[in-house]
Amino acid sequence: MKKLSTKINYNQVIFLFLGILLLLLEFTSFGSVIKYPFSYAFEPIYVVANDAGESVSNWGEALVDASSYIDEYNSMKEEIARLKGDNTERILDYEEYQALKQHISVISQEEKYIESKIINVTDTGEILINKGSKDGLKEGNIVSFGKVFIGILSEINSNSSLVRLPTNSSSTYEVVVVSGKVDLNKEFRIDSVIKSTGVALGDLEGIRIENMGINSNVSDGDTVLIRDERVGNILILGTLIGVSQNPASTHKNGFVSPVFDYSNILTVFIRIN
Amino acid sequence: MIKALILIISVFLLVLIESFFLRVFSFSIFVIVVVSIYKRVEDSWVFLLIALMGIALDTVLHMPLGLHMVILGVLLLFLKILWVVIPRGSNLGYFALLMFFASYYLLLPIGKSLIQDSVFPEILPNLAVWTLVKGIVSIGVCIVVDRFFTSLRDSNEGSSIRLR
Repeated sequence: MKKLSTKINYNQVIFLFLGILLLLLEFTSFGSVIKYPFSYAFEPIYVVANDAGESVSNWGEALVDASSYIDEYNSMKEEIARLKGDNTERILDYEEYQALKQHISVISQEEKYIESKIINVTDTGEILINKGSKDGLKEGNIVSFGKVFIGILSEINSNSSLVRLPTNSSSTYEVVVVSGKVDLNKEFRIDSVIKSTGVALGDLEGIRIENMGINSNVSDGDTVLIRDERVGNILILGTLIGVSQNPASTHKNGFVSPVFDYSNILTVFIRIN
Repeated sequence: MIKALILIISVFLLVLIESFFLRVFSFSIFVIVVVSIYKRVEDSWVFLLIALMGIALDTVLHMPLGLHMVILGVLLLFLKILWVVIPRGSNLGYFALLMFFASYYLLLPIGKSLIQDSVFPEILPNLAVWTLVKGIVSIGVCIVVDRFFTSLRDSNEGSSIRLR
């Protein structure tokens, strides 16, 4: 037992002595010589374990900070909503600018227009706009976009108005059909290029055109213009399609494809004089 | 030969586990292993393991060469003296272990700073608290390991274990 105790003490002393010797060697170049094989053998293990530890540590931190992440997520959602709002506002401003630019380039400068935004498009062929009697609008005012006819104001409130589109079932307009090749910006005497007259009727399926002359040479692709005393100016309604070819009929019928899909318009102009 | 093989494999495994736990919890498994096998496994093998592991850790953790060996050598000497006064098996024996672990966690940064930078580092209350917490956790692990060794102990041979 005594011998064993002496052996243990001897081991421990040697161990301590070796440790101190290594500490002293650290200050010499021999320290790096000893470190080199250990570095070669253990550095890869250390790097792998350290990387694994780091990923576990990151997950742990993420779990601990979960509540702050939720707060951050909520604040980011608010920020995104605000930015989307700002972005939409800018898109609308740009769209308004483009609409005004197009409109001004084609309308007569003598006429006075009020620009308005579309709030809603109904299934019955009406649109709600954000201008009303406060802005000087009256029932019967013509709503257009450039030279394209959009509708007639049918009901006025103080801050909003209802526009009856040509697709509304109670809409009827006297129209003329001209060739689709006619440049309306250059042609001032429409009478000389009219192929036929007709009546445009609103329908839930679209705009029907009736009473076109049986002998007229109207065809698909021709342009349909509104020439109605309620509208005043000659405005474009759309393109003629689906012309009937019944030789027994006393007149030709067809449909009008509007220039715009009314549900896609954002800005319209109301002629007030 | 088998013991040497076990020693080499143990060193590699310990470096892996030690690096992982140091990164995740700043917690040393190596020091728990040392305390757990001290006086339970033949001393020459224990000191050989400490020497190899110490140099390996000094190398990968960029510490002065021999720092782990010196600190553990001194602390084991103190632990041995403490165990003369307080028996290892008693409940108070764990207090000696707590002192051992706390001293280890404190002496490592102090020794590193003193040898590498010749500056005595500032001991912040935060460091002292963490040292104590790590010491208490280490004691918990040691209790579990002791229970494990007790379960392995032969009923006829009270002091020796089958691993030896």
